[in-house]
Amino acid sequence: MKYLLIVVTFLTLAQWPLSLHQTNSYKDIINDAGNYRHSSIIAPDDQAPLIINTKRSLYSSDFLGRFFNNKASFIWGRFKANLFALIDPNNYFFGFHPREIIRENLNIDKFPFISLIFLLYGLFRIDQLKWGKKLLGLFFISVAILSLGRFDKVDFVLYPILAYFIVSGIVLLKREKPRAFLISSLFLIIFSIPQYLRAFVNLHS
Amino acid sequence: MIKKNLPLILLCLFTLLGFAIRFYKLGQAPAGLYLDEAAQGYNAYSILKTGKDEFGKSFPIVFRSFRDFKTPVYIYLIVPLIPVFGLTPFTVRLPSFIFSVLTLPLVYYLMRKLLPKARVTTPLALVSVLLLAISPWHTLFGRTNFECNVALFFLLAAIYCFYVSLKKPSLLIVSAILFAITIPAYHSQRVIVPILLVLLFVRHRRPLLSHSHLRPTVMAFVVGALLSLPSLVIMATPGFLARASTLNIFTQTPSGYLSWYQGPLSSLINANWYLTSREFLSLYLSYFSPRNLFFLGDYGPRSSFPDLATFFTWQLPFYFYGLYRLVKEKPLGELRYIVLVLLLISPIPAAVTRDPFTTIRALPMVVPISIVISLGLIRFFQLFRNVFAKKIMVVGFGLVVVYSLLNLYSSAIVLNEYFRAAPWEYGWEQVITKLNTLDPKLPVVIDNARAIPYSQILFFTKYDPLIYQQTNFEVSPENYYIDLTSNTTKYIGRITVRSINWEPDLIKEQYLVGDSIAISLEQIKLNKMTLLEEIKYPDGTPAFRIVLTNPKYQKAIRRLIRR
Repeated sequence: MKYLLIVVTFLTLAQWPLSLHQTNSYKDIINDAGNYRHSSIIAPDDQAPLIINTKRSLYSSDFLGRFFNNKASFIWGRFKANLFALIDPNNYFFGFHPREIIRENLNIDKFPFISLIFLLYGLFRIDQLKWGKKLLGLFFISVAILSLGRFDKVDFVLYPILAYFIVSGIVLLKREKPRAFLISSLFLIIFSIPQYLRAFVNLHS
Repeated sequence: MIKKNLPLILLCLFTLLGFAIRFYKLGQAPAGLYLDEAAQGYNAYSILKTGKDEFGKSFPIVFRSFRDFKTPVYIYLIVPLIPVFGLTPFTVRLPSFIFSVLTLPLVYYLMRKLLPKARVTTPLALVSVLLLAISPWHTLFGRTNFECNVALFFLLAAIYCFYVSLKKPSLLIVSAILFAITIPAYHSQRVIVPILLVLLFVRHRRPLLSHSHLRPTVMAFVVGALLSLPSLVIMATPGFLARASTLNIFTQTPSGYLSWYQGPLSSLINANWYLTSREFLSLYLSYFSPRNLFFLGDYGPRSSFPDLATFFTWQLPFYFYGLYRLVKEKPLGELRYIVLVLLLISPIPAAVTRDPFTTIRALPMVVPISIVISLGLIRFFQLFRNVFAKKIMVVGFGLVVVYSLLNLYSSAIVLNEYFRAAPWEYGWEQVITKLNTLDPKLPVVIDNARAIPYSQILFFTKYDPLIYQQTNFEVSPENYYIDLTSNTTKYIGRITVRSINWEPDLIKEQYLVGDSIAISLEQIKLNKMTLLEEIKYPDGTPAFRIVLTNPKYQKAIRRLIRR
């Protein structure tokens, strides 16, 4: 069981750094860091005033038109796009929907999807974790800050916090529900074989 | 007195609010009439007039519609409404509206039944009803012709009767009948209902198999099975199976398949079991995704409102907190069980189809998610002990509800009409109105190269179904559920629905109707046709053009060319 714990932890945590390395995505993160403003929520958009004005003109009440369609709502919309991507489990375990993955963005495989069980269990047993609530708070604060820029350039910052909850989930599940841990681990190992192989094959695509 | 009846007063108020939201401009917004809506309406009209559908099949079990099958319950519900309200968009959307509004008190009474502790349940049930009343997800399907909404009502009614029957065994048969109606009411219920029935039976097997319940249980099973039999038999027909196989992820090349990789590890890298499991689980998880629920919404232009997701953004923290509380709070008992069961099984039929997030197929989720958000809201409210803080929170919540209503109005009425007119196939009613004012002796050709408009033509002309059935034979009754080939040309009196064939069509004096691609302004000018009407979408772009051909000019030109 001890070795199984190590294998499961390794397979869970190695995927994201490996994907970054294999796809050379980490270089994009570094290259784009200096260009952060242009990918941030306040980046200028020539089309925005046109869209806002068209929408405003549709309301019989000028107040309503301005209330729902203004520059702030446009920026808020971009902020929400990043925020919801960063709190979406699909982003971390499936790269969103498999048919949604676009080559240009950095929406890579981050954790094996079976590891979602461990994350959920870690969150379910948050009361048992010494740093659980503090780190969950830190996660949401980080998400709020990171949402100011494009989510796929910065989501790696959240890796340690997510790793903490997943590893805690692994340890707690092993201790509290060993049978469930064993079954989940077996599935994780079986499904990790094609997933890890694909990480290497995709390098040549 | 008022205090005693306050829950009932609030329930009436929230139901009335849901009624008003769904009834405002019902039949007018969305302004168009989508082909499925028109087809359902016309088939109901055909059943009313002839006892047969448009293909001449007597009282079908499922309705053949284009290259698909439509569930029968909704269509049969429209039939008695036509003599009262006529064949109008209002009428075809009315069953959805009625059952959507009825769902609101039903949710309240179901929750009260599942958790009889009034002090705990009443506020939770009332907030759930309020959130459901203003829910963009539930509202959308309550204002338009979607069978899923009716199916949801019957599902909840069946569950309610089931729980009542645990004390009154005779109601088990009523519950079985309601479950049997739910199955053919919408396709996804064919998956949800059997799973739910198994789970309910396993959980309540002791009372169900007890001496007092055994006979009603057996009778309910027999009645339910007999009533469901026709729908189940149809499910095995080649036509039905062909449609199902084009939708589900298990018969398609799985997403992520690397076709270029033919190396020695291909059986692992492109392993079907891996890719399909991954796709199914990702689809399944996407129905719980805050990104889909609170930000993106449904990608379909007819199953979403512009700039509005399935729930309001402000509900997100309460969704998380509510989920946490639901899992932790075992005293919620049977309510917790049903909410969890509905939450977990509702996305299954949607997750086996390829679309990323379809709110139509996963509609039963709207109820458990509204309850989860309400639970989060109430538990958050209870965190505060200070009366003043509580008062501030109630006022704040009231303001948020007002904001949500304005947001709903902005998206569902203002923006939807402008940006979603084309997906709702706006313009056919105006086409028919214009054609009715033109020379009735001249034939009309309506182009169907990029659309299937014959249902809308039948609907708005209220064409005699008997004549239509006689002049448009498509399939014999014995092949109704098997052969899905269809005629591309339809004859509706002087109107022929087919692709415009310019060469012969121009030398005949007739009206041509088509979109801006079929009949461009250049073509009108070149062939000296008369533009009689240009029907425009609300954004000013042309939807349809009606022109009169100029055969004299064509003949003269052709004579010149021959010389």
